[in-house]
Amino acid sequence: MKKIGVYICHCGTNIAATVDCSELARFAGTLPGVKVARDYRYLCSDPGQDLIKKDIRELGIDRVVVAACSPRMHEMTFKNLLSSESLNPYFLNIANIREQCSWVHKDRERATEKAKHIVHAAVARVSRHEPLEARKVGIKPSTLIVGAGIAGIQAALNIANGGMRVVLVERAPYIGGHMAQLDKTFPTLDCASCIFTPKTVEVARNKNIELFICSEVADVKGYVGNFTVAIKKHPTYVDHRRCTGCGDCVEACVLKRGVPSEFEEGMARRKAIYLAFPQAVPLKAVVDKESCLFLSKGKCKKTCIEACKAEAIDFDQKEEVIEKEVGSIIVATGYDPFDPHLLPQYGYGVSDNIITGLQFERLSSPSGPNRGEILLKDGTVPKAIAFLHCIGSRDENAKLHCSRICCMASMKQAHLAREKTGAEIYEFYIDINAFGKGYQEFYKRVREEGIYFIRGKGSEIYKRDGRLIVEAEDTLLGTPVEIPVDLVVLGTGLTARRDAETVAQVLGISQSADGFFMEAHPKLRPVSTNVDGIFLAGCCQGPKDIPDTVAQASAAAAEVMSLVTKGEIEVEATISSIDPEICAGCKLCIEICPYSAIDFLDIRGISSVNEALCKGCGACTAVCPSKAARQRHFTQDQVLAEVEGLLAV
Amino acid sequence: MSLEPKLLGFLCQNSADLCADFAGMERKSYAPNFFPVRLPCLGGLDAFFLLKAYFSGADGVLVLGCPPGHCRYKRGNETAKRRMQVIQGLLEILGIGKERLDFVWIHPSEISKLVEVVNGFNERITKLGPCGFFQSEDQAKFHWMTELKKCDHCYQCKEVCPICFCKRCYPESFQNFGLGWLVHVIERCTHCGACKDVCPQGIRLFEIVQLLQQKMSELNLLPLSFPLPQGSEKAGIVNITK
Repeated sequence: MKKIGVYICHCGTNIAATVDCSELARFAGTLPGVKVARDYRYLCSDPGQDLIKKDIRELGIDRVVVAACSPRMHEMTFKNLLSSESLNPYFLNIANIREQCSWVHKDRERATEKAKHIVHAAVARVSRHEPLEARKVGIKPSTLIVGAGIAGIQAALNIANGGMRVVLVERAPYIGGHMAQLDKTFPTLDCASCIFTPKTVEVARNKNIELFICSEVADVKGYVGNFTVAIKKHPTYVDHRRCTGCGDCVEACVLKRGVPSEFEEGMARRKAIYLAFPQAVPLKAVVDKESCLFLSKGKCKKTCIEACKAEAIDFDQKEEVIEKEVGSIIVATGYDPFDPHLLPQYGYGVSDNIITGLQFERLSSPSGPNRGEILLKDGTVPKAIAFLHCIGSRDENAKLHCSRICCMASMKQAHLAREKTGAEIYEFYIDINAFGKGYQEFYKRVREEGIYFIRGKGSEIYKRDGRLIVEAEDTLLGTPVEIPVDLVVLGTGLTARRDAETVAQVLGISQSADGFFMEAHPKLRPVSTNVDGIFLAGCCQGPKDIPDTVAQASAAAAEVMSLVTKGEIEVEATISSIDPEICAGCKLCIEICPYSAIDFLDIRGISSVNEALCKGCGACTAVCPSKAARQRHFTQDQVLAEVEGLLAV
Repeated sequence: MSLEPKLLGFLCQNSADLCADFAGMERKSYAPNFFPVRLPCLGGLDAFFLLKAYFSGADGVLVLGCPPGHCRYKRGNETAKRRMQVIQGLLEILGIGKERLDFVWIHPSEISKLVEVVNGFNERITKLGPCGFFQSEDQAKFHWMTELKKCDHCYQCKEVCPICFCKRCYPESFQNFGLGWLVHVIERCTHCGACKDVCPQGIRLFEIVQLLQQKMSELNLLPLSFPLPQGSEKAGIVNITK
């Protein structure tokens, strides 16, 4: 006879407020097989755990039910407790009476009733639990980092400087992401490239970092510690081992007008063969397949080949797929700026003098198209500039989330614009979210510089008498305002990457409602995902400023380092097995297994699970006609007992 | 209290169960008569689990899984959906009604959808009233169930069936062999008719099978995607899927 111990946690008042814990303990005591049932204020605390340990030692408890919070919170805590008392950790069952009971029901009687059912089911289930051994798998020491913005770079440097190998994959022809486009950074006003270039250069120099530019991750297979990733390397049509980045080919390119430069946010034009920007790392030329006359139309004198003294240009380059074996993955794919075309009232695209925040950064940057002078399209200096906050953010018609950086970015841009042009500056805001260190002080400083702050979101922008009119309601004065300006900067928000869904599917991770990747726990596991061994860094998880991004990237690097340093990890033992005595060799399981983890043993005429490949989804168990296939910890009789227990009167 | 239906939920631990935890964190309230069961993936949701639920007194079963393309195990959600549709056909024939089983995609972030779905389902089942499936002697409503209850475990049907090749018969251990066997073979039945007149109790098994196949065809579930077993020793297999 099993001796089951049931422990009900009050979780302070989190559970006890809606569930009558002592009544629940009394009820649990009446269930078959239950030797002892107790309730306690905080079971996860040391005294709480000691209570269970004492019972295991003195009463010979050999199965434990903990009725408390979600197993996502403390399953490990109590598994470790059982292990420390030489009990198999799988003799534990967590009954979730907090997230799925006390927190969602208000009526005390009803909640207690439901908790009884849940505990009943947990007791019925735990008596059928079998001892299982956690499998140990080795961790491959190298790490894949997807995206080489500031997040990817920071994580890569942390890991590489710790002596581990990093495979850094970047889609663009240069590393640095959005931070490379910025002029100055708030609130310290140090120039982005001055603080950033040393990092990008270090990435290029570091022997532990293998950098793939113009590349994407096409496929990920495997599991924590043992991922096999396929990196698709797009052709650049330039042999980067030979290219010196001299730019002679760019001069020689015959594409007269050029095409809008992606790096300059369309504020300048580039040739078909180009260097993204002068400080780009790596400083290598790439050919854009779309605009290159030879590659798109097949006719060009190929003057670039003549001009290249290093003989680096190679129009025969093909797409390559490179396979790498890594132990962990950091996703740092960043964000897409909100597309202001989606909100036509702001007139983006109607006038050249309505620009986005990132475009302003290029305008203001000393390396930008105007060498840092803030000029209108016709080359004149603007006399009045409006900055509109929350374009696409905090908006029922666009994105509901706050993009966090736009208030500060807008105020920084206002400061720069004021300094460079002396123009009248208007800030249209809903609230000023100056949350970071030194941010409130910066807000105060900008206010004192004579910039007009109008509390009210810009509602419409239109042209009148050659100027742009910004309409808004000044909610402090309670009156509508119309302000004529020459330049409008839209503080466009941060959104999830357009292809975030594809990336999520390749990696098997989840997205939140706003499209950003979802962390394993919003507070306590902010850089982990629901897939072991895959971590998040930077804006792909949600809007962040640079300090937060860097901090999160280092946190992700620390997670990776702790995995790698340990060298091996215990993975869930809850995989499938097939009983050779029962299996009739019908092969239905082979057909349904999503991982091809089941082999047919011809000699014996039966199927057999390859434990290294099985991930424990249980598809084979449901389809197996004779139930020869069973998933450990989710066997037929365990689940059926749980169902029966939940519905017991 | 007793008038309230009992609702059982099978929740995918990567989507709906996670979502239910989030609902807890946000204190989003839903019907307290909804009891969740957590599964690693709905691909492993056995038809027997569902039958067991109705046998144990559930008035409705809600299956909540991740949206298409979001399955952590590639296609467990699609597999489950197909299986649920087959079970819905069976419920319809048995007189339980397909409304008592619902399958909804829930993304981990769709907290308000989860609440709506559970409450909506509760409302629907409350209107339908108690299921009374196993307990009731209502012959008119549970005609086939009454029929299947006649089974006295002679296993003649099993003997003649060309697709019965298991070394151990799982349905034998199930509460009601006839029903268990039906669920067991339905996805693979070849429509050969061997079981037609074999039952000494006169259970019209073949008729139920035919009805079910008809239902599945109405639900656009034929041909079945599950393959016929290879290497079956018994002769006479007609593969209707090809």
